[in-house]
Amino acid sequence: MRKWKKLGALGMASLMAVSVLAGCQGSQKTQQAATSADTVKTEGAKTEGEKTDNPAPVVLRMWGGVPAEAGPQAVCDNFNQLYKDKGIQVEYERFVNDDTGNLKLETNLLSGDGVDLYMTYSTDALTKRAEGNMALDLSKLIARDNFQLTNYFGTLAEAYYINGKPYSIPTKLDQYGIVLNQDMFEAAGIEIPTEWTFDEFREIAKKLTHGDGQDKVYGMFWNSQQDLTYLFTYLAAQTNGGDPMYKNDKETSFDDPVVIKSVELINNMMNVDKTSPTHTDSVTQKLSQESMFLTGKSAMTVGPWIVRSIKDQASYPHEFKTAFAPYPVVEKGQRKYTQGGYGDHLCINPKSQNIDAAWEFAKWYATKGMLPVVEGGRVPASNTYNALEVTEAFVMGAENYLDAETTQKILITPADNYAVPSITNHIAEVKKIAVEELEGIFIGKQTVEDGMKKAKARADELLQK
Amino acid sequence: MKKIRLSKQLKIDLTGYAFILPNIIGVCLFTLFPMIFSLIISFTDWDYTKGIGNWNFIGLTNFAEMWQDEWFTSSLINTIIFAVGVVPVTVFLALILAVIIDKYCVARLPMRLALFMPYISNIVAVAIVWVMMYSPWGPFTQLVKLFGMENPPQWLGDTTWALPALMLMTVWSGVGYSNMIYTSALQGLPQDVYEAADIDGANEIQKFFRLTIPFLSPTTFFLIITTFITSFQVFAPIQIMTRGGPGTATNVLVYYIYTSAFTFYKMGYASAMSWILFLILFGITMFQWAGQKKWVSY
Amino acid sequence: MKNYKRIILKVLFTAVIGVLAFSMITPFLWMISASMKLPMDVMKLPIEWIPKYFYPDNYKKVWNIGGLAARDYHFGLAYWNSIKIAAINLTGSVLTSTLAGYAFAKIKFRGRNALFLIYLATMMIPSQVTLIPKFVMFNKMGLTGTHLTLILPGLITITGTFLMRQYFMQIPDELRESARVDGAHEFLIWLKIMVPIAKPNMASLAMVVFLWNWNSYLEPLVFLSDWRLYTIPIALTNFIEESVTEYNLVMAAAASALVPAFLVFLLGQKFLVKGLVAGAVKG
Repeated sequence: MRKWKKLGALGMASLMAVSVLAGCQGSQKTQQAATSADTVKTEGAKTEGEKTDNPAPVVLRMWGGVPAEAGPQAVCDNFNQLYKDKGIQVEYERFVNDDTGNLKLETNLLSGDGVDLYMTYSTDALTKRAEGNMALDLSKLIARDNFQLTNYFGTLAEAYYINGKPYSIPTKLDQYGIVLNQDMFEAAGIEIPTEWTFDEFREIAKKLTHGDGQDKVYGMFWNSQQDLTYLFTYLAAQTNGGDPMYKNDKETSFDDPVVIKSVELINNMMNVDKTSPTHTDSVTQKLSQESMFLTGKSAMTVGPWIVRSIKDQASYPHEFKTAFAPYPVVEKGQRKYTQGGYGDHLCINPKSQNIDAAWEFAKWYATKGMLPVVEGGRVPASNTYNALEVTEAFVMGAENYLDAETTQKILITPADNYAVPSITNHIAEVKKIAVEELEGIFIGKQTVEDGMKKAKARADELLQK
Repeated sequence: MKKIRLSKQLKIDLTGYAFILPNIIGVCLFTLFPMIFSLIISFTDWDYTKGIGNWNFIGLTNFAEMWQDEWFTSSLINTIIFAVGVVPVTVFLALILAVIIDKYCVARLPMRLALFMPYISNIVAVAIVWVMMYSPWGPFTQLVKLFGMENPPQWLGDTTWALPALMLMTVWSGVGYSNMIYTSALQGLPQDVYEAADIDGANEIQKFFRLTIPFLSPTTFFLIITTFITSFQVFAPIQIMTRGGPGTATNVLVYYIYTSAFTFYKMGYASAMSWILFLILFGITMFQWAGQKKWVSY
Repeated sequence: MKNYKRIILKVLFTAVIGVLAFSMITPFLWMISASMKLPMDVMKLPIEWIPKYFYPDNYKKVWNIGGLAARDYHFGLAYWNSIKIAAINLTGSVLTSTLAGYAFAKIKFRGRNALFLIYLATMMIPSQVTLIPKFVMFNKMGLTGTHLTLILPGLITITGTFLMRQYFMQIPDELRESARVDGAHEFLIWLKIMVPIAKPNMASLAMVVFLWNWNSYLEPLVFLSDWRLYTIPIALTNFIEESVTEYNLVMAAAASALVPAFLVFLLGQKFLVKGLVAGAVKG
């Protein structure tokens, strides 16, 4: 009897141990699965216990940064309808495209097969994921299906190879410009610019600024709340090319005249002309393009990714028409590149158990499936789409709110001189340094000159390590 | 006979270990092993994306280089400022409040509860509320305007004010705990000594300084140390309210460790910094042990 | 005369402390007030402490009741996750702490003191030191993406073990000896004699553990990568990121997150205070 009691105590005590062991076993299973993922699999091979004639479909998990209701859900619904009989289904999950959200995605990628496909939104993240075994080298699959990326995306696709290998399918054409309130321009008697310098841009912003206090309308809204670096890099990229923060692998370009001018422009508009809310305003009041531009509190703003909100009249009711203009350049004749290139890099998790199915979806999405997200303001990169169809989908439901001509010209028609990034050395750290010094500049703690000098000194030291 | 005696101790051993087995397994798996692992990788240049084992031992390089790293040094300085500001205010305020509420107040329980509420509140929810409170349309700005300030500070958006603003919130959320510890310590004060002091004609202020403070000194010491330790580990408010900004104004040690590890994936370097954090906390605790004997008076 | 002065002092201090105590809860009042407002009223100055238009729909949106929300924020799920994890960890760690605390206090097994010293030493290790190895370990074991990342380490608390040991040290040995004479086994003594008298202490520990788990932030932030697994603090963080400008909703979500901890506090106030004080006096 006493012995039995002791056993009981021991048994209870080892509960913990058992659960830990169970965890270990579980991990072994995933690892085996991961190693066998390379071998070609027939769909439904891993499903058991289903008594129907059709094997249960492979369900892909796709992660993206766009809210499901802004297109991705419709894309997945279309795909699921089409592939119902082919045994592939896809589920969309949204992650917020910021530090925390990307950490969540990467944790998943590093730890297992919870994600089959995902979107990468910047080249530095793409590099990190390719080099860190978080993205699958697509060479084999491309060769197998003869799906040459250059056939669909032109030679520009090669600019997004990492160490000479394709780790993603570029799906979206990123081509941005200044977003402007056409009604306000008309009221002020200003023509929509097709070419402008920093000075002209500044003057126009002044003309468009009026009112005081709560009723103040700003000429421009530099949306500085989220990532301070993109503001000046978009401007500088048009003259300096795709690596506006770097001179070369070992040196930053924070002393480059165009970069300095770009920072000065933003700083002057915020703090001298007061034609834009200051950085402090943006941060402490959490200003967003939606809360400024779409409510008519600013006549211009930086980012056309606002298109999906422009169409959402229910959440952001507004009357005016939105048009677009290219980003200004320092001096006439300095426009050497077009800001833009490919974005929404669709990657496959190398640990996925459904690599073939994921590849199937990726091909379909890039070349056929994107129309619903076009409606959400994303232009497909592939040449398989009909340009007219794309434009129609892009403005669909917002015909009265989007100016067709400039939308077409600035956002949709591809250019042949994109500024494509190629340097990613320590980019996360370089960005962090830039953000910190820029914050110091914009809130008036240091001059542009001092701040950029400091940024350069700090970042270069890091790069040369 | 001999055999039985032997097995008796063995039996006791077995019983004892059976009792602590789940605990021991847990401690080994989730504290001891991680500790050793962390110590090992702190001597490496490990980048997480390169995979486990793909690292080079670089000796003390991490520990040496961090002092040249502006992010590290600024985070250390900010953390020290934060702790040095928060600790005395929290503990002193808690002491005063505990004594006054205990002696002079009616409706003591509701008051103590009000003080204690922030402590049990979810820090994320609380931090969000404070972000809004510090916004231009929040009560702080309005209060400052009420006192005639034309350009109220931008609190979290201002390099000078951001850290103090976070400190104020931390005092707010921590004072209830210290207050409660003091309150319960007050119940244990020897009443006869106070009565004797009354007979000697001591006034309240004298009694407070001559009797209450010395009697409470062990509690004060304990609170200073624990508040120091928690202040040194501040993370959630930073992550939610400022993300270390503006500039590096609120970049604190644990936030930088987190960024290094999970944004830059520099696991080796981050581990090395976490051991520096440990050394600091360890130093403070040792200081407590040594100091308790020297300064605490009954 | 003296009495008179005392009353004045009392009134004065009560008033002063009352104002202070009230200012301590203003953030909560502001939160509740903002959570009942229309979006544009949140930013109005001067502040309307009592909203002109009550708009409780914010709560319905947050909880996705009645299909008012633009999307489901899955707040209910996060609630359930938080409660589940807190409950499991609370049960587990009170059990393991009581077992081990008892053994460390009363059973004279060999190596006891050495082991306990190690325990004391590890109490000083800040959780940040073990965070990275745990992250790596869980990834390697394939546990990321499950709640086990929070539950397995949460089943043990060193501080709890320490507290329970301190408590059992105070229990006179005679109680245990007399039971031993009757031939009861150690486990029975623990279960039938020690646990019943330690119940209030176990309750205190349970309250403290609940609070730790409910408010835990850094570990779930790093370990949980799937929204289906989010606990309340992480769901809240995610909520702010997704709906930055809708303060009324954010405030409603924050207010909802505070309720359980307040309830637990009000119901078990005495135990909680005792648990925290025990940690303070003996730690």
